Amino acid sequence: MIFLVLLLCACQTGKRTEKSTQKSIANYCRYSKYLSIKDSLGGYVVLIQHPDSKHRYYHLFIAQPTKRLSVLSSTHIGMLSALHQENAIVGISDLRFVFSPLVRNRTLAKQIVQLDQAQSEQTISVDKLLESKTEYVVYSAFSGSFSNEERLRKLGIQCIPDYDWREESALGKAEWVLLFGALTGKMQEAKHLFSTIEKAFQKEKIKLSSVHQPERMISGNVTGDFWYAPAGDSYMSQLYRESGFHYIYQHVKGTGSLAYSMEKIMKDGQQVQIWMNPGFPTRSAILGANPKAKYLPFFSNARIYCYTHNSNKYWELSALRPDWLLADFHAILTNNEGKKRYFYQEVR
Amino acid sequence: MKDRSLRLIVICLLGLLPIAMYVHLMSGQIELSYSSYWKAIFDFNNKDTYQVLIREFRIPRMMMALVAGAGLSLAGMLMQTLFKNPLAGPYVLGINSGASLLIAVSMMTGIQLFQSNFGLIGTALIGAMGAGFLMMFVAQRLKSQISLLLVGLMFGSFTAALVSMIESKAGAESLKSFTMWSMGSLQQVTFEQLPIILTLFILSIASVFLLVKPLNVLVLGEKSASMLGIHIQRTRFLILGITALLAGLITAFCGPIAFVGMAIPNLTRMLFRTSNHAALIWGNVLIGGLFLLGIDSIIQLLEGQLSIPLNAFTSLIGAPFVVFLLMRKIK
Repeated sequence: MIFLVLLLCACQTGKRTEKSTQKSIANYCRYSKYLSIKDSLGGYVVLIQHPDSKHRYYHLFIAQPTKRLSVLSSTHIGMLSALHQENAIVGISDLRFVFSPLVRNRTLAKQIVQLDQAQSEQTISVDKLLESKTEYVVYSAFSGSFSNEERLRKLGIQCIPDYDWREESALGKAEWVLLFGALTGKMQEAKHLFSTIEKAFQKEKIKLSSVHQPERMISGNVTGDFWYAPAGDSYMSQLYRESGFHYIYQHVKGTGSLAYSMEKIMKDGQQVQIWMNPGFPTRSAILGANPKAKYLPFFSNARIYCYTHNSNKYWELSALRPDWLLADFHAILTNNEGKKRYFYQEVR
Repeated sequence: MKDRSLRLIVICLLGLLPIAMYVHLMSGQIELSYSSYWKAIFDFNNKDTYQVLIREFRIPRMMMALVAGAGLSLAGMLMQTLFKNPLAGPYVLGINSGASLLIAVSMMTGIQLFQSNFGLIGTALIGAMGAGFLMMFVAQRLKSQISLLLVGLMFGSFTAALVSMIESKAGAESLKSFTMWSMGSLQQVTFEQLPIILTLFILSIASVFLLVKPLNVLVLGEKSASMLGIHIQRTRFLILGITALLAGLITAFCGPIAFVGMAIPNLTRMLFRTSNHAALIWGNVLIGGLFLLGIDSIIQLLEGQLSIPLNAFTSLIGAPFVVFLLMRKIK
């Protein structure tokens, strides 16, 4: 009991400390590598591990649901929207990257403030944050850290890191919806939603296992001098593999991106039948950005698919709905034109 | 340095050039036969992947490395002579920034100055020219060489801030296109674009050779040059025009490439130890071309292990060189 009280004191300061474990209480998260949520004294104890350091943890005790959240990533908006908690959002990063119609409308009606139109978490407006009376800021730390954290904590605003983007498994990524469930008092709804996603994901995997002719697939496009593609152990590559694609770099080690020359892509891409994620919605847009794409052996022969017909929807919902991603991949692999697509459209 | 020694250095550099071009062509990830090279140039079959690789990727990239290295070095030499400042260059004086700003406006706001295929060159040219004239206006009012460089750097920061503002309001697609352009690349040029690029490049070099006499006299100062019969205003205009053409052309096709235009003219001057611009032009063209061919060959050889953007590599080498020059100047 004394241990529990000490732990809760540490949690309320929100500081990163050495890991303390509570083996007796079940963790809600089963897939996530970095998130742990447990019941405690009528609230939740949240433990978030830093992906780059096994010894750095973020502790938080959530006693009361909040109605005032600022979220700095599209994925966070998607998770809150899925829980119908758009009204709890008081601050977002930039309206240009929002898909949720309700969040868009509330932003236009000035009920939600835009904190950062310079596209960096580090440059959010603290004045606007205070004006919005935010209680929690959920950030992604894409650049490694969140420089405003200490300052905001002094102002009474809790900052919570969300490392869903560092998860290597699809369900581990989606499981971060539980964090938003705990924050908004909608844990049961979040659990139910995640369980639905989990079942649908497994169902789609079974469906995909019946696709017997995996097609050679390449992913990515050229930026500057290099073609960036997901490495073999990355989340996207694993999802491709689980879907039954024969992703040509699936055996290349690494969890980040691969950077290859166009020459290598020309050579490796000889038998490619599907090109995923070129980053543009039309073939002419691909050529506009890189006129030499016309020489890629798969540019004219392969089927090309991308989410860029509605990028905001993809970035908001794809992390939460890996089952939808698999459903899209199934439609692509079976070349089923009539099947409903959630994110991906053919690039023509 | 004696003329004979200079001639010998130029001949050596000329001898190195085909070797560097050959090494660059062979630095790719795939081994290609000589017959493929022959066919790609004289008997092109667009169904043959290897021939396409040579004609559309390797040759334009190699030519662009040569043109960009030589052009930026030459532009840097012109700026250093005009401003009588060894630390001047198209990048340091904001010429590239002017081109980048107008390209950002053109790509992200929909305000396009030109509609043709070569609209980007025209836009970059006007931007580079505008920045050049602004710097000249400022240079006439500043006595300190360091102050001029600071103004150039401030102008660079100012245009970077404007670009950031434009980016913050840009649509996702145009923002993506601009980001891709700003990363800099020698690979964007196509085989069909090479003739126009090479024509403009050769015309620029020929024009600089016509300016050898005024350039040699300008080293003595504008007053002395004027007394020796040089039309100062016209010379300034020509120098800036050629610099803008070279910097604009290269920036439009390759994106910003830092420090080459500042470092190579100094390196050439150290090696040649002459103020004769006839020799310095040769030196800058050859050393600049060799430098960028070498850098890009290394980038290609390291591909797979390490992906270094061109602009990052030139900055890695160029920035310490600027510090070295500044320290020499302070001593």
